[in-house]
Amino acid sequence: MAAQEVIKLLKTRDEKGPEELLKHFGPLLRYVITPFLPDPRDREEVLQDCILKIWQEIGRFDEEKGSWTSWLTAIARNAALSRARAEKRREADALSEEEGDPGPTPEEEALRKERQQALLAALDLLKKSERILFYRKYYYNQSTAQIAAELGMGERAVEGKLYRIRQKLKDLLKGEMS
Amino acid sequence: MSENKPSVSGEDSFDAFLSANLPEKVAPEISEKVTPWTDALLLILLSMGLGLITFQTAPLFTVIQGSVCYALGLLGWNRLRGENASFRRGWILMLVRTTWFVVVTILQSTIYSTELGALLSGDLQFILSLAFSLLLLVQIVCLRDGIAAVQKKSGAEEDIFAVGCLIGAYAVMFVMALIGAGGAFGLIVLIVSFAGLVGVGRLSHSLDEAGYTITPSSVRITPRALLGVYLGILILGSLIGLLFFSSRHMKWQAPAPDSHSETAAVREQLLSLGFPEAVLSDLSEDDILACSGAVSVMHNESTYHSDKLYGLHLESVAVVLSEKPRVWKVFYHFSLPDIESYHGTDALELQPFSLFRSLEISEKPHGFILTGEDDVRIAAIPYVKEGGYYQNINIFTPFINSGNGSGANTYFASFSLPNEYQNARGYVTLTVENPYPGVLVWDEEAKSRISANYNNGLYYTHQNSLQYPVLSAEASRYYSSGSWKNDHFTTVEMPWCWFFPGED
Repeated sequence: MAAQEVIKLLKTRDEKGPEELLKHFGPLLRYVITPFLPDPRDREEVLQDCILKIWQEIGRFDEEKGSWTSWLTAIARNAALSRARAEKRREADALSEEEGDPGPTPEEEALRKERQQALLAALDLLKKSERILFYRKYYYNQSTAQIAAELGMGERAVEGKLYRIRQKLKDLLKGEMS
Repeated sequence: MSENKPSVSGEDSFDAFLSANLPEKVAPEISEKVTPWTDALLLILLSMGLGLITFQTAPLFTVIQGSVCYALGLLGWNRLRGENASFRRGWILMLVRTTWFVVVTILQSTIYSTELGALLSGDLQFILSLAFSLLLLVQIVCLRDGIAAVQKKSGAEEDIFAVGCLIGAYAVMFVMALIGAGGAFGLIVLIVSFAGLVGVGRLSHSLDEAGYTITPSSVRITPRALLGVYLGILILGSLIGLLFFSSRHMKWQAPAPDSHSETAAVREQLLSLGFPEAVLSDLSEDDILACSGAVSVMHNESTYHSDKLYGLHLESVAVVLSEKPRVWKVFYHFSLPDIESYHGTDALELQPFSLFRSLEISEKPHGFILTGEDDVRIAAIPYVKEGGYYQNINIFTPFINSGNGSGANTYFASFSLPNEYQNARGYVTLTVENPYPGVLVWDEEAKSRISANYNNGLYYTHQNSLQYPVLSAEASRYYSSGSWKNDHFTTVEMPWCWFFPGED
């Protein structure tokens, strides 16, 4: 079944939608979630959360504004990242009696957006292969070993490339921000 | 604003900065590349698609095409081999097919490819050729099983229709090769094959989109190293073949002085019978002694001129050893124009039946090649072979069409000259019994009959330039590929090779 058909089922609120979504795009969601969460139970819970979120949010998905894969992976990644952060916070809370994170202030949020734009602009100046490597590492949280194996490279080669990418970004961001 | 800028010093803090400021969503060019299906399958499909196209008119281009085709296949299967047993089998088959391709390609940079092919019977070659076609078919079955296993592992329904179509099309092509069919039906099968390839391409995209992951194989050798080893062996092997094995090894030495006391007397006798002195001076002592007791000598000569071989001179000499029964020792002596740069092989081809209407060859052809004037060097022609290179197929020269050879009763005297030579000449000799069997009286009618009917069967083939794939001069007579053969070889049908008493 093509992506178009799954989207149609979801948008028309067909009950088969989540089932087909899980059948056809479950592997992709799992693929994105796995590097963030070592515990298989957490992964399955996050996968179910993702399916629910996609079912709820499908109205917001606009094919003209972005690709289906990008949208799906963004949902999966954010859900997995949130779960991983929550797990870390829980562990930290267990060790200390500190108050929870109150979240970013409006000023901090504005600053983050500004930084995000600067980073995006710097990434645009990289080669496509470098961007893919960067996103695998930082966005999809993949280990060097996974990247190396999937791209058919040696781990040291991946580390070397990532180091060079970081150096390039450092230079680009320094020039922009200092 | 600068007071709010982040610090980008230190690896950890910079990593934290990058992680904290990533965008919410990534561009499709990134998200679609994050799972590895399309790339791996695209390489395999390109390899298969390229393998379907054949360019019969340009062998070198075909070799380059084949090299790219196998390189893509290696890279693609290498990516998939860790996922499941079917992909691993496909990878092993790819290695076997690539090894065969490399061996054949390197062999083709030598003059031995056709000779090795000639050692194997046509049937055996046919079976081997089909076996290698079958390997490709089995490899596509591995591809289908591999994809099905991935889908099953992910709990999805099997969707391998396109690969099934591809298997069907290749199976039909295999059967067509088996029965030698082709034509319009072949074209239809080819179109179906390409449609199958496109279908598998779409399938790979949907697998990627759906995120079927591949269990990565351990990286013992990186794709770059794999490609380097493959191209290194291919190019280095071909270069070694071209430099050291694209011509015949000749044992050059100084001519031996006469060792028999009667040689001088036989020389004198032959000269008195009209044997041309220039030819006589090049003959080996054994060949001179074999003419002892000669009754008469017949002689003909001609010079051939063309753009690529200007001044090839041939002298045909028949020494009559006996009138009844008629026994002739025949010498074909040729001298080549000086050529500044020579590569490859030359060959003199004799067809005794066309030359003499006799199959009674009591002494098979042999010969010598000589160079130089004052410092003469001589080498025995090492390779005088009976029979043509007639084969229906030749698995060692798959890029070149084989044609109809002359079959039995053809002799090739094949040799190579030094890269630079002066005054190169040589001769081939054989003893024939009962030549010109219908000729009883040497009258004018016989002369016109002989000059008309016994004036073919002697060919000189000269290599003009370096070539790839390499063919020896004699193999070039029976293997062709469009106009390619003519560019590298000049074949001259030597006229005036018939004999008649008093025809000097």
